[in-house]
Amino acid sequence: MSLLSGIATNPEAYVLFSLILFSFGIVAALARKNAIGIFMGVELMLNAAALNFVTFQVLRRGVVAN
Amino acid sequence: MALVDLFVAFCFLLGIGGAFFTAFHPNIMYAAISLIMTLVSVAGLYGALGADFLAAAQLIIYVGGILIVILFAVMMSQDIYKKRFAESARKYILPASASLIIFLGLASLSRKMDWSGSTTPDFEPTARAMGWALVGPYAVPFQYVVVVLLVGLIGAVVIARPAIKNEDEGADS
Repeated sequence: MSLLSGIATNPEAYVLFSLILFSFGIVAALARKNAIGIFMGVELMLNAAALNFVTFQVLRRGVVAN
Repeated sequence: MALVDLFVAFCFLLGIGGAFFTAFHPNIMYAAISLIMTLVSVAGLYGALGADFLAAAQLIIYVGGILIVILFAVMMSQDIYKKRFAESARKYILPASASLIIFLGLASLSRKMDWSGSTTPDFEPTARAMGWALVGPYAVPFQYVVVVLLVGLIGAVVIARPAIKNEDEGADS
């Protein structure tokens, strides 16, 4: 349980999570045959990228604003 | 251990599980439903990062809009519950190894990075500032996006219009 403490404010956890999402998105976009499956894989990758944007915005907020 | 840690860990687990089944479930219906799980968990993470407007937009646009359209498209297909797209395990070897290489490279890169600082959000509502930015400094790009969306709508109508009209009326248009 000590592993979980502070996970909400750890930027690396968010980045690793979106990396896992991106990897599964690549698998879905490459391996599926039908168009909807490929679209769902691309959707996963886009969500991972958006989560990264938000994470780095919160992480670097003080750096950019000042 | 705070409650928000538990919430974020739960969102991580939900998102990873949903992404796994989105990639590997042979039935496209259950893959779409597990994609809903992943999108909801990403919305929860937006909330934990203090991006309230983005969390609401994720729930409304992705979960409420795009995924319902996907589910309709899936359910319009015939016998979708019984259909298994015969995906042999051999077909997954090349994409899985490619994504594993990308994952390992990026993960080792992120291990090397200096992650000092924290993502503690300041829970101020962001919607007001975004609204002022859209009518203030970003008014011209906003109108540009509006024009692009209008072009997309008109293009969709032009493409989807049936071509029977041409045969009835002769050679015009």
